[in-house]
Amino acid sequence: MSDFFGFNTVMPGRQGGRIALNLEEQQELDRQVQKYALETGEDFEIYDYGETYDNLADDLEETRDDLNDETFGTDFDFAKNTHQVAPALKKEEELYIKQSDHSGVRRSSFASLWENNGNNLQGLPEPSHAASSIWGSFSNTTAKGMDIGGNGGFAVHDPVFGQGTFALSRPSGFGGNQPSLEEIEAQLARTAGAQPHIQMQQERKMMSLEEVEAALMNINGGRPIYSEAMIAEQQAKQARLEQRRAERQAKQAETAKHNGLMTQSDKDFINRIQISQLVTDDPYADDFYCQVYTALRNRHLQQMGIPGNMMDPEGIQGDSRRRGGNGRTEQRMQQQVQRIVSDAKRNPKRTNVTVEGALGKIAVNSVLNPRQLLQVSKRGSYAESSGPNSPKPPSPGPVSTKSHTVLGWIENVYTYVLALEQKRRQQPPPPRMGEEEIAGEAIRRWNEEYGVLARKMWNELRITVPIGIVHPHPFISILNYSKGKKVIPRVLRHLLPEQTLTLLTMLVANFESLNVCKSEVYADVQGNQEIELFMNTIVPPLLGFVSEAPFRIVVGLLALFIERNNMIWVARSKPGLAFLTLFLSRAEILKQGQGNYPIPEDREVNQWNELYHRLFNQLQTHFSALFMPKATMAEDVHVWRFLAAMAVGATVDQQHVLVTEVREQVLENVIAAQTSRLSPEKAAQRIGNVNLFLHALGLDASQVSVPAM
Amino acid sequence: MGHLFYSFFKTLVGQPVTVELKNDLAITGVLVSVDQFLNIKLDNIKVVDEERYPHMLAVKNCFIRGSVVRYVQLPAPSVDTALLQDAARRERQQPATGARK
Repeated sequence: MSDFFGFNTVMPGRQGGRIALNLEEQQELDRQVQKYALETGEDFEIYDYGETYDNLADDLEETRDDLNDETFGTDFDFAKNTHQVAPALKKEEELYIKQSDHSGVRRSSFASLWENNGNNLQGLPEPSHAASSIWGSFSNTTAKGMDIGGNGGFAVHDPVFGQGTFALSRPSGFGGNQPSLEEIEAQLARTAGAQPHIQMQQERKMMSLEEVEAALMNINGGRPIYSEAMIAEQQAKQARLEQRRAERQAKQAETAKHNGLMTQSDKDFINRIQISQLVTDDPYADDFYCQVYTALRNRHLQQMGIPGNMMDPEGIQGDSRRRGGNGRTEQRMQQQVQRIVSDAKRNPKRTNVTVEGALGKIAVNSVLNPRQLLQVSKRGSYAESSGPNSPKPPSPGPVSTKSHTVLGWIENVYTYVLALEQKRRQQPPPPRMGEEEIAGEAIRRWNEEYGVLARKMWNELRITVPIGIVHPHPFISILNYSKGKKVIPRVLRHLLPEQTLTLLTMLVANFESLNVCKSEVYADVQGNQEIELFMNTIVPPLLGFVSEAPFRIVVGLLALFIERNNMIWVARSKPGLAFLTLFLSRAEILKQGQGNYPIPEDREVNQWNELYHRLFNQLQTHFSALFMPKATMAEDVHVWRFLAAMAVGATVDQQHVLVTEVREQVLENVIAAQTSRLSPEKAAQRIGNVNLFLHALGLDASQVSVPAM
Repeated sequence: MGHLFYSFFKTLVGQPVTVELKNDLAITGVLVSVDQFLNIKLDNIKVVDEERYPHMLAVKNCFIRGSVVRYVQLPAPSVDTALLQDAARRERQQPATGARK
């Protein structure tokens, strides 16, 4: 290492090797240093890098300086500058050496640096003695690192270093290469002119770093020397550290004899036992949420065009399961784990399973079935209705409609729906060649079980309870809960067409007792949510059913609807209007011979026309009342749709009545759209709504002349 | 019940959650893993009330013992409540191994 960031670091005094100084010269050197120290006011210590420098800087990275130009700019060439100044510096040094007679040749460059910069440094706040105590705790290595800095012209004047670095300039003046601490202290004491302490210090044989530090502080500050307490404390600390290390080593030695006692396969085995608590032979039973959630998420992602295997249920299993390495090991491990699991399940009576080779007992009840903290004694009725093994057929007698009873029914429906969905997932595959018999048996058994569950679910819905025994009808009570509404689409998937028809018939017959038919439900948020739920869960699947029904069925349903409900009341509700619109539009389609059915017979058409007139007569003078009082635009589209459905089947007289009754609403919308009080989209929406109705009459909103107000 | 929670939290891996501990410390972070004891590992954590717990500033990830968790705040879009209800129903209706004495 010939340069340090471009500085020439070769000290002039070092070039010629060591220069032996005799005692006189050394004393003279000391004197010079003292003089200099007094002049500059600095604690100028002399360091012998030759003794202590451990070539640490050789490890410094010298390459990767290609970015230096970027960092420092190209307009300044350190090396070159230094090189140019070098002769001047050298000259100065020589001058100084001459001036100071025999002053330390080896130190001269250092000293000259001080001379040059002395004024500046004096102006700076002196690195305080407090700082020295901070450095005092540094290890030797760190201190040496600082030495390197000093080598490059960095003014290290902190008096305290580790023992190893703390050396005076005299290489062998008092015998031995390293001067003893006593000598150092004596030297320092002399430097600061603190004679009285020397004797005492010299009497001490061993001095710790802290003691030296304390001594130096005292020398420099002129305060009393270190306290005995400090030494004692230090020694105690040392002893404690020593003891701790010994203890640790002893412990390590103690356990070392067990090293390698367990082979890797032993560890794997224990791992497996622990993991066995997480693995399940029936993921849909024990890991239902994760499995179904992942399946749903994958389906959703696939719909969006993203490959679905991004979320693999195995991938988000416990990470311990993943750690098994490659697939085959994992598979083997899983098989073994499954064996353990099934072994454990074979002994369900025991709460502890001692697997041979396991460390301790495995508590079966800790994971699959945690220890029950609450022991709730089940009362008879509840246990009966909740247990899946004790389906209670709905009694045809008086049925209570208390809320908890109805909620119990709903839960039972859910139970069967879940069971049916599970059955669907376990549907046996279609028979392969040559295995028809075995597969046929499996399919037959599956169908039987599925049928049993579907029947149980059907019973639990209580649709077949005769009308009039309880009010509202039990099925309607179920539908009056949002939970009950939500289950209907899932129920319908497992129903036979006749059962769906029965369900629809029962719904239509009791329509006005639905809570969504009550006008007051429109007043509050929750009511509106219920209506939305009804429209989203129950209407779509039944709409699907009706839109495939033959004319006869539609006629029958509308007849029942009109017969059993107050039309004015029902038509004011969104769901009621939706069903009316559904029947009317389906009948119209069938009357025109569309929808894969032959044109209905005249008798049926007459029947229908009669029904239509009855409906029209009931609603006459109430058509404008179908609109919600404070209806915003989006909310009355269903009314316009219904009016359109009415208009299609109406006679000319009836059309006239319709137009007269809702004339105000038509005008209101057209005016609102024309006067540009609304955004273009809203205006278009309003016109669109009105046109639903007007187009059915063969008219258009543009034909409407707005009367001057 | 253990399995439902375990199964549920597995689906939240990679999602940001806030875990409220019984000592009132609330930690937000990305769920790294969860085990059958509902011990939780979080990454990129941030204590909700940093002024009160400055010593947590430097901590970047943590392991939380399941028993000290009071609440876990979940990201609503990542939770399928209807499915959760079904899962709860399923768990109720099929007692696990050795459940009934």
